[in-house]
Amino acid sequence: MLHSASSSVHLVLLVCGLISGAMPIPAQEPGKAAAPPLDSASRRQVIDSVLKLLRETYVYPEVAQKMEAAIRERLRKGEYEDIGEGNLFAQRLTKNLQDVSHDKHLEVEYSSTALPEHNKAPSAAEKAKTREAYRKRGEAVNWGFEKVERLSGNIGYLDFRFFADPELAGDTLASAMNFLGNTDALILDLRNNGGGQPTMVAVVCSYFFGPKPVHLSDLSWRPDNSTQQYWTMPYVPGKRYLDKDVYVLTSKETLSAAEGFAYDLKTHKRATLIGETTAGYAHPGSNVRINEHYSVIVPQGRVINSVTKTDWEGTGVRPDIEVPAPLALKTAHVAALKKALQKEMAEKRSKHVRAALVAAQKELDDLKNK
Amino acid sequence: MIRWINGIAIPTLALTLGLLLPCQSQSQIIAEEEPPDMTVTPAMRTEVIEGVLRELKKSYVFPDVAKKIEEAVNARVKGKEYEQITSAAVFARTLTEHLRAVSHDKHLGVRYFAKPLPSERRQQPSSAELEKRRRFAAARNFGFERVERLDGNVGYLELRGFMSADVAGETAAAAMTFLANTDALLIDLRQNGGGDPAMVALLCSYLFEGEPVHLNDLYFRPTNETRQWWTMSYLPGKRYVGKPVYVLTSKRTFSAAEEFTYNLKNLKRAIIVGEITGGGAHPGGSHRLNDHFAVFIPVGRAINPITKTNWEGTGVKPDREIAAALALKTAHVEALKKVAERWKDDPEMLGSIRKALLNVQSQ
Repeated sequence: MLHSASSSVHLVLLVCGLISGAMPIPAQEPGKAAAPPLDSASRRQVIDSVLKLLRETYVYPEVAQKMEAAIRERLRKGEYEDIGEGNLFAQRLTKNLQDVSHDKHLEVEYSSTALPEHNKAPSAAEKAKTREAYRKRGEAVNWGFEKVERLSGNIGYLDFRFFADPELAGDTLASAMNFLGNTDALILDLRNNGGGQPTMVAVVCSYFFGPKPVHLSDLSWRPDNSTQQYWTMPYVPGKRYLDKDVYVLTSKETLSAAEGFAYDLKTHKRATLIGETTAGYAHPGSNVRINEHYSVIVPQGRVINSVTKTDWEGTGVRPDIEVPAPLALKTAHVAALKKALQKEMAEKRSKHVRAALVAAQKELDDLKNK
Repeated sequence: MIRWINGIAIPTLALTLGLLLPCQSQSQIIAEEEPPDMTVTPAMRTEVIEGVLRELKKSYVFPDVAKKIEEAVNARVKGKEYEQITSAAVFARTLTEHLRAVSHDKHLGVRYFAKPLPSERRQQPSSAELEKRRRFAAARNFGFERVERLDGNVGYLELRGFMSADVAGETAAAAMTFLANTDALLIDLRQNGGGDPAMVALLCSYLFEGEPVHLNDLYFRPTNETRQWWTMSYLPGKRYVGKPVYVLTSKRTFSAAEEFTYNLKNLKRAIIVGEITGGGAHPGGSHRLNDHFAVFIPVGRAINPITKTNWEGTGVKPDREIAAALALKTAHVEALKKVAERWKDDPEMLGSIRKALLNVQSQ
């Protein structure tokens, strides 16, 4: 979802430039063409610009006011006078802002190399270039789809690392769902999923609900005061996964859109969550350029789940079965097999599932005892 | 599930209600013929009138209009206007006229059924029922009547209805993939009476790319909620972008087909060629009143995010207003001229476009 009014940066549900963590990009070259040292005027300019941005677009306007008051007080007291280095200044500002907001998403960043200007909307050629670069990176990691597997006892397993642009990643998702379509239960592993596009969250969710669209959540966006509803799709290519249990594995590294996905399935009672409470990042934002060397990651929206009318900011999403992340997969596998055994009528098949259960239980016990 | 009124646009008044099954669900098009007439008793007339007014009061999208209708109909009852009517067909037609005289709402109407309607109004249709509807829709290729490559590499799609997206999606993808290499696209809705808003969104989605586009909102009185419709972020098959699109309309183009047209017109994604459309912007559902009568109540209304209004009553005004019978040729010629502009630096392509243009114009 791109709300690029002033900033034309690709907007995703992420934190701390996580897109670089979720999807590999070339590392920034350190310390090239160092910026001039900070002076009082430039510090002031950065502070003014940051506070203006927050005042106008930060998701909670009252908190933005409090942050402004706090920073200006610190400025008045001369607290930033001794900072001459960009990185330190950015870090200090970030800390001071987070002290008031308790918002781990909010971050001031310093770049020693000059940041490109985004004052104009990108030209068609620039857009195409960015898209091509995104495509190349995405393809190199199979759009986040790391592994599909059929576990013993006919339990499906899907490990995916981020929610990519559905236009590009949709086919890979559809093929994964087709591969897993005949399993008796499905384990979705989000323990290493750092988030991504809310549109992709809706597309993935669509496979787990029937054709009648389900209202998942709303994304409320402060800069233009808009609300965008997210619903499951009335039509998905490939097989939907219906009338069968779904387990979602989470860790404290499960972030942002991945938490949203888990939250959607949990609140709609479509999946059992197993693992650790997730990180607690629910505010989508933008990376906004302040000047040549400073940018701010600023949360500008919030998610309103259609069932709970709230989100998971700060608290994270709590699992139904709380276990350390390394045990989550086996725990889910055992749970799925136990359920399958209950349902299985055919004797020959029962034997097979029981054997799988015994083996899986042993693996789980071994892991616990390690 | 709220439906647009739908129906194959057959030009008789009773059937322009849309050929609906009497339950609020994903009803499909049924091409029944006019049922045989039957007698309607005074008791039945009363039951129907009281039922209609009750349902209107409860859920008609404009409560103040519901009140006016109630007053008008009660006055007619007092004036003994229905007393002489013994034909079910005439009763249904007359009552419908009276409802529309006040509301001017072409979706609102009463219909009678010779075969008794099921007494239980199920929330969810049975799987047998769903299969029956699916087969009915499949027999019509889910509304996809024809795809064709016209002279000069102009694509043509004739769509007779917007059927349930979950069953029709695959056919839509196939149609769009077939047409993907054409240089312009004509979408013919002259005989399209509406259907599923999800299918409208799905088909619109093919004409856009990138970030989701806000197409339309549907407000529903019963829940007091607004449901947004955006283009889909993932579609099978190829999208049709960067190339001109024309939508052909007639005065029979109705309901969801008008939504499709209105969406594209306001987003400036298509040129509309043909007649002003029917003017129905209120989705709703059918309510069983008794064994033989049902009333279609519009419980919602469309709100376009750009115009903040809709096409109720007025219809959608075409960009090129022309008789429906001439719309195809008009659009084809215009499309060819547009395509010729695109190829103006390629003499070979330009030559073949010019040739096609002469050919089409001479027909």
